[in-house]
Amino acid sequence: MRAELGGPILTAATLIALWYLSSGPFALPGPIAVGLLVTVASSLMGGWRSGLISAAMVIGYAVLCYGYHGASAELVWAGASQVLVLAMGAPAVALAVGAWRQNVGRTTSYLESSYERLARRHAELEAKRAQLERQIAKLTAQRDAMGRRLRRARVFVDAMDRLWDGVLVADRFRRIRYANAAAASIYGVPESELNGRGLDTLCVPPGPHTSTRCYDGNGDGWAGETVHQRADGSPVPVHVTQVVTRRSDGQPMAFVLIVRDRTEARRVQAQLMESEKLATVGGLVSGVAHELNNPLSAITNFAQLMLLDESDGARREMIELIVRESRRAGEIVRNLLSFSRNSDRARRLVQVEEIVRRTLALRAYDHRRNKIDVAVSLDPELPEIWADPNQLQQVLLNLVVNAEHAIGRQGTITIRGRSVDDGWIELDVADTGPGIPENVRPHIFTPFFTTKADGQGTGLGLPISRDIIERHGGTVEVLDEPGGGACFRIRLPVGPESAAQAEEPEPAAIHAARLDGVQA
Amino acid sequence: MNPAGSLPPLDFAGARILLVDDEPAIRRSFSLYLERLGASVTAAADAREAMALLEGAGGDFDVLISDITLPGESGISLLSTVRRRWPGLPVILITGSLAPGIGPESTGAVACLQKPFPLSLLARRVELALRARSRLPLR
Repeated sequence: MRAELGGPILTAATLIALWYLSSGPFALPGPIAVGLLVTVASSLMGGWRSGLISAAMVIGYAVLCYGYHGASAELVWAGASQVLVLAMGAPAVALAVGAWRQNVGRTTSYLESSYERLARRHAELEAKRAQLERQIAKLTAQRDAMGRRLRRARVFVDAMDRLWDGVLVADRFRRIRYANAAAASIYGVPESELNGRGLDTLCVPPGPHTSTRCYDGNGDGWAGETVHQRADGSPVPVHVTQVVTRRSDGQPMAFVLIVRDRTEARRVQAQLMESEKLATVGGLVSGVAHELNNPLSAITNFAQLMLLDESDGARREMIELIVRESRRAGEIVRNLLSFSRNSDRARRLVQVEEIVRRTLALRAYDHRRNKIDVAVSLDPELPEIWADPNQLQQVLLNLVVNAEHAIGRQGTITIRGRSVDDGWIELDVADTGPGIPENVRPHIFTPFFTTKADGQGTGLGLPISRDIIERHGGTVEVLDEPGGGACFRIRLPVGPESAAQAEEPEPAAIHAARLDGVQA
Repeated sequence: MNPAGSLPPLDFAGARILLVDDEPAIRRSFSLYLERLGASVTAAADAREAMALLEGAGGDFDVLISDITLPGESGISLLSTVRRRWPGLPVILITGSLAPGIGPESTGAVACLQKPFPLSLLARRVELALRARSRLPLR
């Protein structure tokens, strides 16, 4: 509507402007042509109705001009020719404009439909993009989760390899698929070599000692002590905790074995039992020894009294035997008492060389008689040590007598002494006897264990010796002497265990009292 | 060490010994032996009996030999009573096991003997005690 009004208004404004420009109406054909052009423009702007109104206004203006100036044939002609030209040109222009407008319309609608299509496409792509973004978010979360799981898995694998317990995972065919570092070290092979091996290769082949099961191939799980074998076939005591994972149909899927090496634990346990046994025996023997003291004393005393009056040779010999044997029994009792008594008050600085000399002097007669040579090699720099000389002599005497018994007749006892490390000495008593069999070795320090003939040994010599040495802060161990004999090695600290002990004054009275016993 | 078959060359003639031990066999063997050496031995089975004998004699013994382990009052306790009442009477203690801290110095005994010991050792300790009592000349 506005476009329809715009054309006539433009025409009117043009005609009024022309009026004023020519200072009143003028009859030139030019303005008519301008008016007609404006009419065309008006019809273009507002359609044929605007054109009609504008044309009427121009014709009115022309009539006004002609009327004012008087129509001359010349003017009319000129006007008519122009109107004619325009009348012929206007439809052409209108046609061209119509075609252009149609063209523009088509283009517009094309553009509009294109726009719609693009908009739809855009929406689709937007949706797609949102979907992809959701997917990306999901994948990122998954990736992060995987990363976390991977890190956790790495922690687990790391932990597995740092575990002290062996961990084995086997598939349903009982073939090992995973072994941690501890498992490899228990079985004595690289981890890679365990992979693929059957679980059964860990078991000791059936035999008299393999009554227990080695692992559980069927059940739901099992835990127990058993024996496995290393790659080299040597047995290893282990504790196995085992679980079986199953598929939904109940078939085994994997076997997981946690294997703990019990070698060290067994050793400690054995040691503990040994020391417990010693403590029990210690308590027992001191009680028994006390009870035996009085009857033994009475027997010895009366036998001695009988000897005073006995002149018959055969009877004297018998009574002397009673005295000797009851004294021997008394000696055993004394040993037992010293075994259970904590005595560290008679210690002083002693020369090892002197103890060795005194001990050997006691046995010199027997050594000569049995053709036993004694080789002593003591480091001249051997320091004096803080010890009870009587107890030390007792230990040395025990070891020397043991060596004699091992040798029997003809052989050599070697005593070696040297300083080792800082503040320790080592004293070896070695013999050329047959050595100590492997199966006897674990028992040699057990009280009342003896391999000697009845009456020759009490089974207390070595346990008492070890007790004495340990009370001095030292150790005794048995080694193989090159050449087949046995070698007992004593390690003793040079100084007292603590300064307090060193400064403690030695009670001379007790020393004297003890010597009363020792003389017996 | 003296040979088991002979008496040591000692003469305890005139010496009065009070012997305290709860074991009759021990008591008897010590008595017999010391009497063989000339001593006159009075025996008691526990500290109470020993105190009664001492009171009765006005403490007039030359040596007291006592086991440490006695029923009732112990030999150590008897010894401390005796040392208060008759400080000049020498005491020999006998024990089945030597507990640390029990010795001549800590108890005031002339000697401590750990069973079992040879009779000759007892004789030598009695000799020591009699010298302390000045009943035997010091050598």
